[in-house]
Amino acid sequence: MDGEAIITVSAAVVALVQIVKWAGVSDTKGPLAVLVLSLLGVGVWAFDQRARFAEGVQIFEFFAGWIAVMTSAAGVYGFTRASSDKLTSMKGTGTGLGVVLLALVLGTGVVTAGCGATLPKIPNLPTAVELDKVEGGLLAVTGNSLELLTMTADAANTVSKMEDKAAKAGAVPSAADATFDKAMVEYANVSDAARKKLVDGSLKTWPEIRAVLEPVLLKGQAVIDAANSLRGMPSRFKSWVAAMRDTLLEIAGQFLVAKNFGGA
Amino acid sequence: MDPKVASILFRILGAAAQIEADGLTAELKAKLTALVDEAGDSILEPQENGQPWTREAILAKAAEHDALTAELRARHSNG
Repeated sequence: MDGEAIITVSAAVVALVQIVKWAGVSDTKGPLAVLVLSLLGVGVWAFDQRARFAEGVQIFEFFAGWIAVMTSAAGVYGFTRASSDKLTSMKGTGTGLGVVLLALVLGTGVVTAGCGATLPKIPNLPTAVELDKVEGGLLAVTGNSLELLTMTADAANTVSKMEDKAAKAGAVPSAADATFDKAMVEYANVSDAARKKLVDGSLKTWPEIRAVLEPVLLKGQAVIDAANSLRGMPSRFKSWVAAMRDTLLEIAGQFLVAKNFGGA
Repeated sequence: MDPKVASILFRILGAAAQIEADGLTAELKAKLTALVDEAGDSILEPQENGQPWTREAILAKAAEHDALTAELRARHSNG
């Protein structure tokens, strides 16, 4: 794919990406749109050139061309250049819960960032509740405490479904997935133990109920904190994409120079 | 560049897009917001339907909770 072809395909793909952006495809879906449309553009061009295939072509030529087209199209979404150091620092996220969180809440982080607001913190439970001053006080406190436990379990289930989808898509390393599985089972056990104590009548005072409820709610707060902490993730992710693009371009550039001009 | 890192990156992109398309991110945000609102309400308030809490209502809520934790356990116990 020579320079003229790259320029020609890039012009068409950039126009297409601009139309797609105008149609409302958000910045969060921008990288995907750029990847797919660039591949489409190069693919269509390659199909037109299929008569050349009999002469023998090198696949990497098309790959390098795709990267070059993608770089041009990525500018529509305002990707900025980043140093390759950022890519190096990203290598540590290849395993472990860091990738699980990335896979899990990337969408959540994007949603919260896109909405421009963080999720509020779960308020601290009251330190004193005078159960005997309200008719049915203990029943009300027990019922509302159970409501909080149930709503936390409901939110945890949504997080669980997100992780499950990401894991099935191969986005979660198996070790991280196993760690997450263990954490979720432990959470379910803790929540069940708290539920049993609430219902079996053994808890008579608010301090006793609070002591059982608070540890489980803290886990719900951890999910909220994770979602809020990833507000900055989209911009960091764009840096990673840009760093990856730069690295691939460098590799492609070296190859093309070697191919056209010889030498290393 | 580590090819495994690039591979995971692209898969995460795809998974995140699918998760968002399935409405799970919006669902999570709604549930977490509702949880925060509930925790901010009085611990002595009646049920959402305005009726006072009864033993039967508590047992029904307990069953709802147990169904959720059973679903969690089932999804994550088989690794």
